Amino acid sequence: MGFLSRFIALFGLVLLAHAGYSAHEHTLLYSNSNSNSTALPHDIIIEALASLVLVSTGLVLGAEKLKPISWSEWAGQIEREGGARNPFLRLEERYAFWDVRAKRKEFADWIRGDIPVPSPEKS
Amino acid sequence: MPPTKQELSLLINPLVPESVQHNNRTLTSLHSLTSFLLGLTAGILSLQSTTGFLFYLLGTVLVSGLFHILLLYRSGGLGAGAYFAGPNGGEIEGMDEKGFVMGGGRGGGKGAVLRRGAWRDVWFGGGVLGEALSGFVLGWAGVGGVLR
Repeated sequence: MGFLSRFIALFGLVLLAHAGYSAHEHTLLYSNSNSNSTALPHDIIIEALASLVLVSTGLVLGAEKLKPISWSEWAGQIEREGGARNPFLRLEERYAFWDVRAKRKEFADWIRGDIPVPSPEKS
Repeated sequence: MPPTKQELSLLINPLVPESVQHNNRTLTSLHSLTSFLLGLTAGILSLQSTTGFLFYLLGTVLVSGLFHILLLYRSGGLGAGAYFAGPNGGEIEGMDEKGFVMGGGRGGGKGAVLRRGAWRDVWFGGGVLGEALSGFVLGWAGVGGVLR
């Protein structure tokens, strides 16, 4: 959607600029003539309107994606996608059971200098 | 005093403030961009007074319509209720005083919750009569002054 919307918007902007330039030239030319009609020709009007439709279509297509506002849907989406956006990540990924006594013993042994340093994978 | 429908709605199905803000910001930026473009076009067409404001009205309706169509398409037919809170502060569509959602609203079949009057946010929200209008007048007067 990104490239297409940008292309449509850019094309519409080019058309709009062309319509503006044409209108400018038209007023320049017709201000010197004797005829009092300063109404724009139909093709410039049609070009301007078409460019407007194109640019707004491109901008609407290129708008940021909306997020669901209901907490349930939002949370479900996050749950499905996973990743760092989850505010409850800290609670969901925790350490499993941890043998405190063995760790204490290890530490005590180490600080007394009996065993050099316990290997980290031995937990 | 029994809780109002809005309070019940927010208790049953809370809103995510960040998402509401994000959606409103998206809508506002879209409207301010397109209204400036509308102003440029109105200046090129050299519209005068009432015609210009009528043009702004029609253009805004066009942009809102496109946005709503895209919204319907992306949400699978649920509509604006899934993305905007509406003027009632997030009241669930089709809920009675006791908190029962009658028929689940329109999104009942899909298990989705829709907010009442959310279409109003799409069509009248996003600063259409505020910042966007001033952007329109700026573009209109600027281009009109350069071209004439």
